Amino acid sequence: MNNSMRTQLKAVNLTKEYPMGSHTVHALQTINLNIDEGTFVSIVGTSGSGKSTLLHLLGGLDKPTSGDVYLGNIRLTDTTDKELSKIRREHIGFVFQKFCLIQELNVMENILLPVLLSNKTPDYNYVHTLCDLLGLTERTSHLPYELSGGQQQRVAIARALSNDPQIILCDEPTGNLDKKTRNEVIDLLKQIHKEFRKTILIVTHDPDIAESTERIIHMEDGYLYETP
Amino acid sequence: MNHLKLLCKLSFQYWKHHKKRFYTLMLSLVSGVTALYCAALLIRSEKQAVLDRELWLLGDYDLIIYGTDESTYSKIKEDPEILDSGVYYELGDVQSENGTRSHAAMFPDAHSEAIYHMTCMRGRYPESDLEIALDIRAAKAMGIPPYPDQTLSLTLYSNDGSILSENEYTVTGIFQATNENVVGGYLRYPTQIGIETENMPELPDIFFYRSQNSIFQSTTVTTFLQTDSSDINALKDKLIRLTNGKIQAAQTDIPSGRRYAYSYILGIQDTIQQTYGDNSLSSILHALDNGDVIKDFYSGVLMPIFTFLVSVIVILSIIGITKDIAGDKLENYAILRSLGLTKKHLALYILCDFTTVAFLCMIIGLIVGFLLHILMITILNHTYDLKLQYGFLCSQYVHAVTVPPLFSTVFTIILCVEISLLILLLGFIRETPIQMFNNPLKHRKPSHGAVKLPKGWKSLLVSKINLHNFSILIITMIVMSAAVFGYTYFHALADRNNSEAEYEKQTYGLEHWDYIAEKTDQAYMYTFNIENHHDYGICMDKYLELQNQPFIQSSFGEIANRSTRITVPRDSVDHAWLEAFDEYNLRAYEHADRLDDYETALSDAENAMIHEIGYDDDELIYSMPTVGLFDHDLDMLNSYIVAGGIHIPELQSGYEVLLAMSESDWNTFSEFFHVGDSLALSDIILTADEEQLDFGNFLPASVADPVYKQMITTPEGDEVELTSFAFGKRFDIPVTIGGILVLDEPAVRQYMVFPDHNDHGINIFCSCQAFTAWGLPDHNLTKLCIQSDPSYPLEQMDIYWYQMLSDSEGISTHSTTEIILQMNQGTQKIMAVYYSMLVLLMVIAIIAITIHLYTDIRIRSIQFSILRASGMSIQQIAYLILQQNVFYPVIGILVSMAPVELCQSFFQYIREHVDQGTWYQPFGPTPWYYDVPFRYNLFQYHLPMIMTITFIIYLLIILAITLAQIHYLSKQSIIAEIEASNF
Repeated sequence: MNNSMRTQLKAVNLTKEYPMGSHTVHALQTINLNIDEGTFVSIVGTSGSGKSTLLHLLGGLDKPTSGDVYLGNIRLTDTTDKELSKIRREHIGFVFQKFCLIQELNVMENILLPVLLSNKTPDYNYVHTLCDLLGLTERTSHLPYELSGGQQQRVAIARALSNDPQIILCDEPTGNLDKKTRNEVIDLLKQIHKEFRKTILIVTHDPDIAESTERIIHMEDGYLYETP
Repeated sequence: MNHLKLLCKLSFQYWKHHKKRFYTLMLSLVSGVTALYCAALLIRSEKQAVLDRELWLLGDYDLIIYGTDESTYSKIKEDPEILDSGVYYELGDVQSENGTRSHAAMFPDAHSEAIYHMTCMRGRYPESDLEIALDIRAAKAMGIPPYPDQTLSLTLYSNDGSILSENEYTVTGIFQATNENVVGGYLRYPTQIGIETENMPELPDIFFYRSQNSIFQSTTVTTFLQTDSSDINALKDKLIRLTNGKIQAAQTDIPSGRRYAYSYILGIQDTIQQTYGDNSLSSILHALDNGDVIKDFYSGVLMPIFTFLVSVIVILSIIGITKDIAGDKLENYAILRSLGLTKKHLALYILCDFTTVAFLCMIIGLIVGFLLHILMITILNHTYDLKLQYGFLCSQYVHAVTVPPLFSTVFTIILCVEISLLILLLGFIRETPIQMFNNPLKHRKPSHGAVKLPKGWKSLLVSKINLHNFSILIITMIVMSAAVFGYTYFHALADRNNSEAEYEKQTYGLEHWDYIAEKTDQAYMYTFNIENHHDYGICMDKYLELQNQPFIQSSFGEIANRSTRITVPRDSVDHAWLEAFDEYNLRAYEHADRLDDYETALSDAENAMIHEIGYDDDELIYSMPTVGLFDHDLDMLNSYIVAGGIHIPELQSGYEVLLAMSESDWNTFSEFFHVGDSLALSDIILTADEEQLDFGNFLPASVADPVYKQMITTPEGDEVELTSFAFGKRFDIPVTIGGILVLDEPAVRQYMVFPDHNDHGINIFCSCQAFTAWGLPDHNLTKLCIQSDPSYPLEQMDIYWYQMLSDSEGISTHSTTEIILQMNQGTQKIMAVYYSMLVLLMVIAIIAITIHLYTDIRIRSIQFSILRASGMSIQQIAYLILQQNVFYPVIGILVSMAPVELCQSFFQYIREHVDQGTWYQPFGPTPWYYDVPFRYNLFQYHLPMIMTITFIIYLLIILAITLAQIHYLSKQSIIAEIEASNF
């Protein structure tokens, strides 16, 4: 993997189908999409419109039924699990709606996990900067269940950023949060985008959040519509 | 629809939609039931085999009447006290081609054969005209290998001694009615008849097929009767009266028979008479009714331990599965509770739900266990010829002393299920409905550790994500300890049971050789060390034939000549010589000072004899047996030389001999013998007629004239005629002492040194060729020992051995095959129980561990999905899992040493008490420690090897399960797991 490559996400004729009983659910229908480096993009749509599925395919967490996903010039749909794991820990950061923290690890350990899995020596200056930015400095030794939802989501964001990936994929990061915390998280993501120039894709059904991003992509019944 | 139906539907729907969970629970329960049921049936099979062996030794009858007739038998068996009876016809004598005579009999039906109960050790009883079954010793005496399929030409004689027919028969079975180690040679020697009785019955050592009685036309029968009568003597008298004296007391014997066999199997043979006044069958039945029986080691100790271990494994696996299932159902339980179901009703519902499934599994498990038992017995009997019977077909006596398979299995499994469910219920039943919604079974709050900056993902995740499962650890320790401890303990048990056979091996010198043949039938005239029958023994050609056989690993042959002696003139020796050689003096009545006329007469008689043979009155004659050895054996003795040397050419020519003695004898005799000295050696040469005399049953006056005859007065004042006879002539053998050997090594002495001179005395070692060079008639080997290639089949070797020696006369042969087969069978039977139980334990343990590891990985699959979403590769996950799973066999094998060490200490404790006599009880039941092999060292049974094998097998099993875990995780969709999670 060439670390100096220009990160750009591209979906080409991407489809995803799920069998459901005797029927087939067409979650994504021939999606073509380009995400430029450093952009803040939101994907909006109703429940079941396919927005999360798209995000998962773009992040290499799931395999498409057909079509391709490119990260720079790497075709994700062709890579082995080992290569995909490496891409996930070095080039993509994920933030999930349910936070998905490892309960046995404390805040600092959760944040450092992607760095350690890459067998790199953590850049503690960078990690402390992240903790300061996300307001976690006082909580680094806490276990996830000792934190509030907002705090847990901030840990998840810090973890997503810890290995300094070019792309952050957020799957409804505010879905489990109250309005005040939601605003705090969104402000943080904006700040990260501004300070670290990361490419951020955020899946949401909240129009307010979508409005605050640079580009809005609409999903409906597996099809993609983009607001000009 | 009432609420019960609704709850039933709820359960049914769950199992219907969670078939994998159902099958997992079923697998766990079915394996537990199968293991317990199968093991309990196997114990019954083993015990039945023990009973069968006792009945084989003693007969399945209580009273035997020899030499009666058919009409008497018909009358006897009608007696109400006779429960059952059998009979064999005493056909007459048969003679083989080599002149061996045997007493023949035949069973009129299979029922009689079963009651006589002398099961063939090889093959079966005859089933057609020209088939016979033969006693093992009779087969050897007739010069055929004691194996089925041999053919034998027999001359048949009637009971009055006339020749009836000559036929060739095929041996279909070998039984063992005789044994050299028992009184009278017969295993079922008629104890109450006595050897002095004229009517001493001849026990059959050959059985013909029933049709052959058309040749013998015999109506003489021996009948054996079963009775529960408490006074068999009274019954015997009654039968004598009933038949109007047609049977006599002298023909009737009351053997130990059934009474001993049954009381032995019940463990009460020592106490039955004390407790019930006699040891009749009725007393034994009373003891049975009263439960005064003692369970054997397997049922009293092993089975409870096995049941406990299986129960622990089953409980742990049920807890694992039901926790998983209850985790799924907890939301339903919470809803039911929130809708008003009480804790008690919910608990009852859960208990009924799982218990119903458990009963279903139990039925399946019992069927599987039953079929597995049949398969196991078939395989064991086919592979090892263990003669085990099915555990469900055993007698009431075996029932009484063994664990009831069905009841114990059902009881244990239901108990396991209920204990598991109670433990499960305690985990959540006290929770409120809302707490139940939060699934208290799945919440494991991690604890804080010291805050340290992690060094790498391996140290971080291995220290924080603990995949260890306590249940798996317990199961691992149980299985590995059972494997290691069981192996050593059962081997010690087998050794203890085989100690008698081991002793038998040592008695015949078979601990160094597989086969030994010795010339034993030569006549030996004790008074002057004269031997004849030099045509007996093993022909030298046989030895040379053996050398060319590829399956012979080593061999040893010797020609021992007892009758050689040395002579010295009386006036050439001093007092020290006389004292040193005194006990080897062949002149029994040679005295320096004659005390009285009686002793003078005895001395004169002896002098007359030795004069006639060729010795002088003033010669001292000392016994000094000669042992002829082959060159390579003489060469081997070089390391024992203390003076001179071993010069093969001189030994072959007979010019030189070697003197062999013990260290202590060498200290005594060293001053009298020097290398290079000539030795006045001589032997007695017999005429051809004298060679054939039977000195054992000898009346010299019938074959020779006395050389001395005189009327004398004994010290008691009796007037008797004193006669002396002389046989043979002196034959001088001029030899020189070539070397002197000091032999103290028991292993060498045991087979090289002349038997009478084993402990002390001087032996002359020479070359086998020397006897011919000297002109002596000792051409045949008197001893032949061989060791066969261990890879060569024992039975084939046995057949070869007996066939090779079939025309050698006057020898007795000892083969390790029978002892080894007997020992192997004993060991195999014991080890079969161990391996069978271990396999059953292993199977349920593997199932339980697989279930636990699968459940663990399934519960943690969300965590692994998060790790994989964070960039952890499958290889990294594999490392994480493997590193922690390897921990189980490592801990398990270390712990497995503990029971061996503990048991060995316990053995030491028993030994101390027994040796000091503090536990000595002169009367009463057999002490419990008689069942324990406390004399044996468990550490000597390949402990490192069995630990290594156990570790490797277990490690491979764990690796296989780990691979399955990793495969499972690699197939899981990361995102599906995360979305399904309920954080």
